[in-house]
Amino acid sequence: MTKTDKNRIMASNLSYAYPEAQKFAVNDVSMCVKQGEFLAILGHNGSGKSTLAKLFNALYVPTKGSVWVCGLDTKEDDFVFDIRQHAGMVFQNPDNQIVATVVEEDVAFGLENNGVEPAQIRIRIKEALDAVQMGAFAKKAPHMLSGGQKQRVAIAGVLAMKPDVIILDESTAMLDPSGRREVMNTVHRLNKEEGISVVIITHYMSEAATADYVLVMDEGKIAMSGTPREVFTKVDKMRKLGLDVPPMTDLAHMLGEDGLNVRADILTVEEMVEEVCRLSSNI
Amino acid sequence: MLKDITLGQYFPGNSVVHRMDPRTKLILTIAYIVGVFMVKNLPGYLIALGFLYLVVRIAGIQFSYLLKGVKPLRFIIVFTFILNVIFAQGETPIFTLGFFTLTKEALSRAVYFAMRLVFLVMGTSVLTLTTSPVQLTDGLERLMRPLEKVNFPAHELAMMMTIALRFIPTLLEETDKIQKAQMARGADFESGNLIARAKAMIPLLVPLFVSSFRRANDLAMAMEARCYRGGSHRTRLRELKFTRLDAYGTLTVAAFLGVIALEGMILG
Amino acid sequence: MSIVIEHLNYVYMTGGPYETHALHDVSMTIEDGEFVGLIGHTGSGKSTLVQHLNGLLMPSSGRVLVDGMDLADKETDRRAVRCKVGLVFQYPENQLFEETVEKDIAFGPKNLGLAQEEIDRRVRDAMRRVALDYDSIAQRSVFELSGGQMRRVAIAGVLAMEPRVLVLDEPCAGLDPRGREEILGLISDLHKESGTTIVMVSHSMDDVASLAERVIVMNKGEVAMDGTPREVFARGNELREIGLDVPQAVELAQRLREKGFDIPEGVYRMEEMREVILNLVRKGGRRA
Repeated sequence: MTKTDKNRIMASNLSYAYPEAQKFAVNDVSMCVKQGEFLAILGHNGSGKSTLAKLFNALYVPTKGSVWVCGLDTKEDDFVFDIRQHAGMVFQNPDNQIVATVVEEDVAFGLENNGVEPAQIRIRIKEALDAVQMGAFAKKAPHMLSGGQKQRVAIAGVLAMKPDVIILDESTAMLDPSGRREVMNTVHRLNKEEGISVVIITHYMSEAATADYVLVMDEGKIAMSGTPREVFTKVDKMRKLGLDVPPMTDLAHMLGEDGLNVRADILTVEEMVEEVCRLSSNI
Repeated sequence: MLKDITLGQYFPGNSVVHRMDPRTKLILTIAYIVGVFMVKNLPGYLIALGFLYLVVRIAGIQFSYLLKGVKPLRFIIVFTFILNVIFAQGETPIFTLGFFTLTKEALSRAVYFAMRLVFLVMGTSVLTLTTSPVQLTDGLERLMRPLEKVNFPAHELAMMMTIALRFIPTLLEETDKIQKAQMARGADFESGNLIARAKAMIPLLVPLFVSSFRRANDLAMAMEARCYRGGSHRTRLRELKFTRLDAYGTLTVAAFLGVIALEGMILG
Repeated sequence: MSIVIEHLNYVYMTGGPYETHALHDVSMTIEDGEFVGLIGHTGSGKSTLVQHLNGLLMPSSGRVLVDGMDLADKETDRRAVRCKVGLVFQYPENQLFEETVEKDIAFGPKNLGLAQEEIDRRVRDAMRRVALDYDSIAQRSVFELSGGQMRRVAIAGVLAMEPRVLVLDEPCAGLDPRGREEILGLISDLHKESGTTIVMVSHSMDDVASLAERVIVMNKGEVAMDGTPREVFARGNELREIGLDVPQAVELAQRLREKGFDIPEGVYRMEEMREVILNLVRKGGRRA
């Protein structure tokens, strides 16, 4: 495989067991993330989705099977730092991933580690902070920022490394609704404008609904996959896996049970409004 | 809120003192303190004080900020003073009270010690007031870098300082929150004797340790994910450069040391 | 037992450069047995407000009366107040510290100086209320439980104080959908079965819409709205103006109204929307 490969991340028969654990946390998973794709991974706590994310960044090395990031095998020690530059990771707790005491210093951290020239670091910090709309905060102390702002700084830190994929491991879980919106808008913009592939791991169905493709994990395996429409339509199966569906999908499902001939794959309020218009004019 | 207490009492500014290289400031601070320790008489202290006043004014900081730095240490200073008065040996008695005799030597020794402490604190305050913690860490790291040849972990120490500075506000906030949460369960942190109070700290300290370990774990993972691999072939965003300002600063402190030495020779 | 708040003001760090007016002339009465949803975005003052309900913070001016006792009064036994008003903080599992689940839950009752038998009874009772099995879990270390279980242990620790009012700050934060549902379910049961007054701070409008009987909206340290969910959510545009969401059912109702459908005012639950749409489609309720 080469760097021009269209698959940013590819996993084949990937399994991982934590040291001394009996069971595989990730069990025989095969999947890929294409260039420019926006992928959401769902699953209840302990379903293996966060472990999977850490395998994408060579933080964990597969027990069985393989992961390639931009064509680089994560099992090869020589590739570790290249892989981490290609596949940037943003974690859950905004307070526990910012290293420096000044925003711009933190954004510089990865670049400093990779030995980038100071003049070049300056340029990249500015680009990255502007891209997440935090340019005005370059000199601020991280602990004075809101949760959403901290996460955007963390994204900028990853972005400055010019990654091909950004992985967000429940990065919105500890944020309030406006913080969540900030982060989601930011990654969607980066996905559309810069063509960066995005993998989000989340509990929020509304966030997964905005993805191109959804994987649902259960017991370390991929239990469901497809477009958000395909996946959320299976309301009962989602519930069985300990998950939700977007409220409008749920409403459509209930109306279907009431005998209305309503589209089952509704995700948004707009779509529901259209559907109600269609149904009421049919009579 | 606890998290708003400023640390290291940095006083942001853009004066020539602020703009000097942190390495220069570190070395000059040490030189100044050594100079003060050589002082043996009152005029010498007056010169040292005048010099500090000058520096602080150039930095655009109220002199009272320096005194504020001394305030928390007043008990230690008084304590050292009393210890010296009581235990220092001397030959010229001033007065005797029972079996206690105050000698001239002991008194002057006590005064000198107290003065040295005060100047030590004020001198370092000038450094911390005009140098942000980040710059200070940078300066220390680079000053210690030659020591890496003898396996001294200069980079690691600087990294630890940075992380400590970064997490102090977070942990203070967390302490406040856990304390309130335990108080909501009827915990009492204020009354009882020393042992009861120490025991009352357990519900506060255990969760704080647990969460600190979790944070450390998370942080280590986040640093690793961002290609951290120790200090080797690492570049820095901020390159430190000596400028003309540093030369002026060095000359000024050298002049001060000269005056002190001269004064010492004349007044002996 | 009611909580009366009169002209409450709270200022952080008075006189300093960071002085912030966190609460501004807040007055309200929380009646016995109510289920109050307290909403507002981060920094709106809601967390500051809940810390006044059991005397963790003292008013800068104004009064807070819990069961007729003035919290600012030196004579008032604050511990007595704290056992009447239980406060569950955000991410409460972060305060667990004892070796076993049982000991941790017993921490509160022990502080109240109760007899061992009473403590045991309360621990068992609290565990039952949060659906944790005493026999299999009581002797386990709190640190080997799952996130959802730890949270329930933490809530049990407050319930063991047997408070008349239970205040929960974002009880579902960070949980997965199943965990959220479980926690919301047990809060709802507490309210229904023992009539405990509940004050729930939440960012999720859908959770508030499905549970609360009264909704209080905070904005910039003031009470912006106070009423039944029906009344408050009918003011959807105002909620959006202060940066809050509305429940999806309210959003849908509003969009359908804009399309000319006749949707009754004050609909805010998904179940209601289900009925409304069924009627619309069956009877053809379009005006235009």
